[in-house]
Amino acid sequence: MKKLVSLFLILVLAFFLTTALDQGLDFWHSPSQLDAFRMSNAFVQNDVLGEGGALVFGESKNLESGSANIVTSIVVDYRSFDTLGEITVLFLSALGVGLLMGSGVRTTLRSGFILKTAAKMVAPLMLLTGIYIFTHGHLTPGGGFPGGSMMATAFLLHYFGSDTVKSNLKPLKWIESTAGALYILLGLAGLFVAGSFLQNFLPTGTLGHLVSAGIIPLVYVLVGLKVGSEVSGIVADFSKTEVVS
Amino acid sequence: MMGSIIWLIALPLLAAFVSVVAQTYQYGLLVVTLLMNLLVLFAAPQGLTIIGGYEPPFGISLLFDQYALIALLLIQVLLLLIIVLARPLAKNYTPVILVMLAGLNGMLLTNDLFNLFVMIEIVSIAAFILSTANGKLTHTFHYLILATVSGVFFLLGTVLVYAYTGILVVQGLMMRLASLPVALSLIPMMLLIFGMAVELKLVPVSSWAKNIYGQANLLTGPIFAAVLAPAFGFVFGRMMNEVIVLHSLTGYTLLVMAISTFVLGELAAYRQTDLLKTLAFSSIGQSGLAVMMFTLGAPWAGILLLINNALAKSILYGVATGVTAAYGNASMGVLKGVFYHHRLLGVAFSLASLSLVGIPLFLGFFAKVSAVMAIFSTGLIWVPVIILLTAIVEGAYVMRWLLQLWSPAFEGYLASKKELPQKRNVFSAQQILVVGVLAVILFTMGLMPQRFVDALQKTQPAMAQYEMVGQGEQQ
Amino acid sequence: MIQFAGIALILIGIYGLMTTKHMIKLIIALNVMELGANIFIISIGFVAHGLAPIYTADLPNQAFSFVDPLPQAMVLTAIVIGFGVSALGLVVAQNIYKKHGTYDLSEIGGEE
Repeated sequence: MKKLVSLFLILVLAFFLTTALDQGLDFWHSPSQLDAFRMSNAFVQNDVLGEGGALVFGESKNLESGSANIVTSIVVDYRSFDTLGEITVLFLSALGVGLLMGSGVRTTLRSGFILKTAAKMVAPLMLLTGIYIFTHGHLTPGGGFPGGSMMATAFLLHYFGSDTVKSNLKPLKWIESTAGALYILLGLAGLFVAGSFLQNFLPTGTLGHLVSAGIIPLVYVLVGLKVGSEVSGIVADFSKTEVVS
Repeated sequence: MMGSIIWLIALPLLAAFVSVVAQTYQYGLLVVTLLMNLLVLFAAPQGLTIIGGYEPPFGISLLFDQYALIALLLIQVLLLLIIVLARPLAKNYTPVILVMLAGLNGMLLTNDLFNLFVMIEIVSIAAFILSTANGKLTHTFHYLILATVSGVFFLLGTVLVYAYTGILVVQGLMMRLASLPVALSLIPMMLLIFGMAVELKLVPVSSWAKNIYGQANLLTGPIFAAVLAPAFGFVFGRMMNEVIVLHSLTGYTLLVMAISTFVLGELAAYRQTDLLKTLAFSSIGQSGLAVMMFTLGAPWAGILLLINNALAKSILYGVATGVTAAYGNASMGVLKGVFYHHRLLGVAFSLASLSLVGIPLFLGFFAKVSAVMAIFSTGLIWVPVIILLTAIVEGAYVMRWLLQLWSPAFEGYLASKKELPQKRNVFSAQQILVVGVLAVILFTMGLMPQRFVDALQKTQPAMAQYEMVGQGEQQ
Repeated sequence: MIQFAGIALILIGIYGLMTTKHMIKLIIALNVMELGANIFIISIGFVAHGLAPIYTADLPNQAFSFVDPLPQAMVLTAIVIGFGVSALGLVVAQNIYKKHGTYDLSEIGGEE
């Protein structure tokens, strides 16, 4: 009965939404009708400060943002403050998981030979891939969050594959804390050097080079380390079980 | 540089990240951060602060005006006093409180709709974690699900606003939205309103509040009722003035939600025999009243109500949770005559509850009077009638509680029947001092409300230009 | 059409939230809803024959046909927030399970 009522309500809601949003759902643009109203054009052209133009990969120099991946330049430069909020959310939930799982010991799983051997071989590679992804976040798809998650996955695999996981998670806490503090200090450096918080104050180099885009790669490395250590911490906390006394 | 408003967010975050590894100094860091924030509040110039070097609408900016100043000042002061009041409990949650502080400041300052969503989520998650301190995890879970669903609604609303207007800047967004056809702006406005309804404790989704508020302890009670509730109220006020376009459908939905929250909340509070539950329902009701004020375009009546409610609730919850912890139960039978032993706390509690009801000479009186006056000027005669009738209910239960807690005439009688509870230690001298400071603040504000109201009305010019209820329909 | 998929997922998520009392299933329903929202957000930036907004050596100057990068940046933030909330919800659910021995909220009921 309850299910029928819910189903009915959902159908009413669906009808209401699709009819009310009828014209409103038309987000399909052809390229020719874009330019007039899209605010993102300024991001794409690096034209927010009014000094951009047509960008050429590997040639354009000293752009305002300088990252080849425009999503990255929005996430870490134009709207970097959102990203600061985002890593704060992750920090907070790691903190909450740690608080709620506080009293418990980590269980060790019994793992098979194949898993053990494979983990030893694959985990370092995954770690390396994660690092590659977040150091190239301004050039290729990816960035600090996927890279950090991949590092955490490597940690999880290592955890599954070894009988004796070091119970000391202090280093993770230190990495997490230092990376977070450095992000804010980098932002404050922007405030003192260039005049506003989180401003890109380093030279942005040539579009498409590894060392380019000013503070963007630095921030993404910090975000990657922070996300990696936090998600690893969450994974480690989840594996705690209550001490049966 | 040093006086930039960005410190209000950067400093608590920095302290939070550091405090994870420096656990010995956590509490000191929290206190120092709050004190520094107060300094920054007075040093920082008002205006628009740009982040990342990009002007709005492209970058994110912070808007620091008189309205934000009042809200921020209220929150820093109350949070400082609350963490001193609930020091042993606060020590376990210091990093969470620090991050929550950054989120609250960000929420009140930000001038970007999507950034507002991020900040609201930070504050909500911090609130989930704090609510686990009550020890009732099913209540936390209930709250978590409701608040997250509303967060998704808020996100969808934000994104639709971006899709239709192409910008996310809060300041003046209403102008852009009002020029859209009603068919387009209706759904995003509905989504934004429902996205805030859970945190504002509006009626269909206020069930979480009676559990979380009604089982509160010395830390969570004051923080939820006196810090989080006014903060979300202030954010709603900002949204009503800068973003939300009220059509007849959204306007009446919101008004009905607010009025029913107010009436049902106060009626439910009347029926309770548990002190904390009474205060919980009273908080729900008062939130409805403040939302009603902002909806009807009387922002400074709403501001006055929020301030009065925050100050009063910090004292009421501080004393009530302290007494509950000391005597083991918040029911009327157990707490009968409890102020016979704790006269100072009793005086502070009475002062706060009288101000909450709106007895003349207290801040609450001016808040309620300005609310009723503001609504009379909108022409909706039946709304002030409802407010006054409900205020009588509110007065009735507050008086009943005060009589029970003091039970002046029966002291001897009760003592002879051994019904008067044995005296127990409720607060240390330091904690009593904090409650006293709160009471003095509340009382002084009530003594010179005119100066205070004048200062508030200075916020009018900046806000009044967007005061156009139902403007969307004229287009 | 993809935005209708998003709306459908949101509605399925709401249906799940309304009908189940099992905590893990509630969190799954929440995630389905968030996924729907994310798909919906991405669909807003759609451009016919659009490209991913990344400058590469193969297509050195294609800015005119990039899809809107801003919704993608917003989705990144929304995903991370969703992850954080899910992790917290799961840990709360696990703690409730430790205390009451069940994930079903209707069996716990009456905890006042």
